[in-house]
Amino acid sequence: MPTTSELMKFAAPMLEMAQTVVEAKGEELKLCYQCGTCTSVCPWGNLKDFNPRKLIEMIRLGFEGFEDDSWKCVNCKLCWDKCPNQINIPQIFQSVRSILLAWNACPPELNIALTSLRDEGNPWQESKEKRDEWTKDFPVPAYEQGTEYLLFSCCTNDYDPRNKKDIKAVVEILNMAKVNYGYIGNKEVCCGDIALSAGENEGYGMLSNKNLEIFRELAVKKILTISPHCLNAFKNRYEFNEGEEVQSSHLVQTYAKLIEDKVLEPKGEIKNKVTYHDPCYLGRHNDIYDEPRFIINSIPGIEFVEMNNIRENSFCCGGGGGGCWLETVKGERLGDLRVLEAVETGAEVIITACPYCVQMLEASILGLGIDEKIKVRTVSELLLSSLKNEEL
Amino acid sequence: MEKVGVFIETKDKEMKMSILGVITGVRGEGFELYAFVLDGNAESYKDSLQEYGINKVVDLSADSPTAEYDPEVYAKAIVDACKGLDIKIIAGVNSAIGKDILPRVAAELNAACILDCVSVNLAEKTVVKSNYSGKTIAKVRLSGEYFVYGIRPNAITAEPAPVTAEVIAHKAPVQDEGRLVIKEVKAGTSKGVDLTEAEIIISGGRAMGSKDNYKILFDCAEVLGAAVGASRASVDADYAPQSIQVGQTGKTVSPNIYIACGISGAIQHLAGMKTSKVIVAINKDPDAPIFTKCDYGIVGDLFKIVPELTEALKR
Repeated sequence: MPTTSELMKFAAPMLEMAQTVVEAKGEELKLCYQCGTCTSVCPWGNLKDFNPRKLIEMIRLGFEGFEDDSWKCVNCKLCWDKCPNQINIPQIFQSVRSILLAWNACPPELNIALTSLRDEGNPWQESKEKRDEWTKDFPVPAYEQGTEYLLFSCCTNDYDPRNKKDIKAVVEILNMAKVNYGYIGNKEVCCGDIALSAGENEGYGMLSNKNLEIFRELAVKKILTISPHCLNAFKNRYEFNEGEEVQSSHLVQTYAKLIEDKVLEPKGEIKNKVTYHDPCYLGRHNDIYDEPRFIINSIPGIEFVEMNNIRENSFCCGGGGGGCWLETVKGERLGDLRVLEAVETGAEVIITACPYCVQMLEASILGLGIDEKIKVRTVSELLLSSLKNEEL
Repeated sequence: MEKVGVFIETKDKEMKMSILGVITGVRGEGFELYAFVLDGNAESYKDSLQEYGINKVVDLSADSPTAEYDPEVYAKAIVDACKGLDIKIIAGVNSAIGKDILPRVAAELNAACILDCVSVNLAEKTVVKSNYSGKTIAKVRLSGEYFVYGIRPNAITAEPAPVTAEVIAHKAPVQDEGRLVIKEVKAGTSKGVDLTEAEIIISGGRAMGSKDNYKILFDCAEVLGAAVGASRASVDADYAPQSIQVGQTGKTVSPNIYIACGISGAIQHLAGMKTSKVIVAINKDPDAPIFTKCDYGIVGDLFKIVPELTEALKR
């Protein structure tokens, strides 16, 4: 019979692997007691054999075979919330990714986005000089020292033709409500959320430092975000200095307050049956569940129905954690399941509040060929339609 | 003299050339090399095999025919030959077929099995293989009675070491248990026009509606001397093969003219074609995002416009 240490040698070809992950901020790896809750709640389980518990054990033992699956995690945070030991499992995958990146073992399509982040400050391979192009025929107030809110637009809203419609709606609403806000245009760089979730710590550091510098230079006190990913970066990840009191909030919070205070009065009837998709970064990551529902319910004529997986149990669109840039084969897309769940409620419109969710859900709708049946609109687009008494 | 069996991978009566590297890697003083040929053409491979140091070419057959690839029959026949000829070391190319056969052989023989080796030392019973996508290199020593090695294709450069080989026949009493039935072997799609090098590309989106409707794009492409591309949504809908998908997760193209037909213009698609010199968009939805990125935009039905364009170009 072989001794235990001999068996361990066989079972653990590279114990250093676990140590490397621990050193790359994955120390919670050690806390896992292999109950498997993460695997049972992970959204991927609905589509394929994906086993975070097993991956964690493989990493701990230094077994090969965790590499490809480590790119799957969409940072939806469901496992983290349900883990009885409250282990930040997405962080473990981020640590593993940072090691894989150092080995140049990154999915090529994600590498394109990461290179663009380094070169152009946005993940969409667009020129940094063209960020504010959409404001040429659509004036937006510039942020100056003393302006109350800095409107942080998000790369996807600045560059993606689809999401530009959303940011224009945002600007119109803020103007109507006479909110004291401003935009910094080409000085903005990506919040760095995707770099961070892809394990590209150096790129994240560069981007966050650039933004912090600008915030400091302009003495920014309040940041208004459109993307929950930017919100999460500023609220939970950025390293502000002590004494720097910067408040970050999401637009839906502002809208809810403005409606409550009767500054905005959505009077136009919207005669659609709608449902609401909770973005993971807005809901689970930042506990914002009530405001978007309050806004939807304040619209006259609207019929609001909920899906099965909502609020704390919302089902991810698949866009987080770099998922928006990764190819997933047909039949293995989280967005498809979410869209089908929405269709089941009989809703004609999915309302959401995140540019990635918009992209992922719309891509799924197009891929499933049901664009005649259901569409995606943001909370801003919905609110503006009612305020202007237009069709959604 | 220790005997080494090498599984000779063949396809359409041709030997896979990467096997010669494997033979080069396992031959050496004190080892006698046996080549297992299962497709019934042992004689025709003899010259090449002896050129690289094979001593015996085993024309291996089973009660069940081995001319058609069947991993179960192949593995059992190899196992029978190893036992009959007292061969305790088996090597092969770590190809898709190798990975199908070698572990089956190892399981039957209760052998130490190691795949994807970049070099082997049979005398020392050690191999070198890379781990973690090439980050680390491990030297592994094996122990046991039987050994199975899968060697990475082209890891070892083939060098001739001529000997004289003889062909021996071995018939294994192996019946096909029918646990595994190969119903069809589908060849991979052949390479069409190289999209990335085309000067003009005409691309279709999901609005194409069907695979057959792509014909109008191919007709137009023929007149234009263009290649045909597709959006992810149309590939998803099986209207077009993945090999012609343009976009972030498909091919990145930069032709002189890119004609987007019925493509809404998701940013992921734009990422793959926005460096095109001239972009023409045809879409019936005037609000389609593609219109914000094109040089020329036509709002209208592509099924009318494209055939008219083809006709106009013919004149």
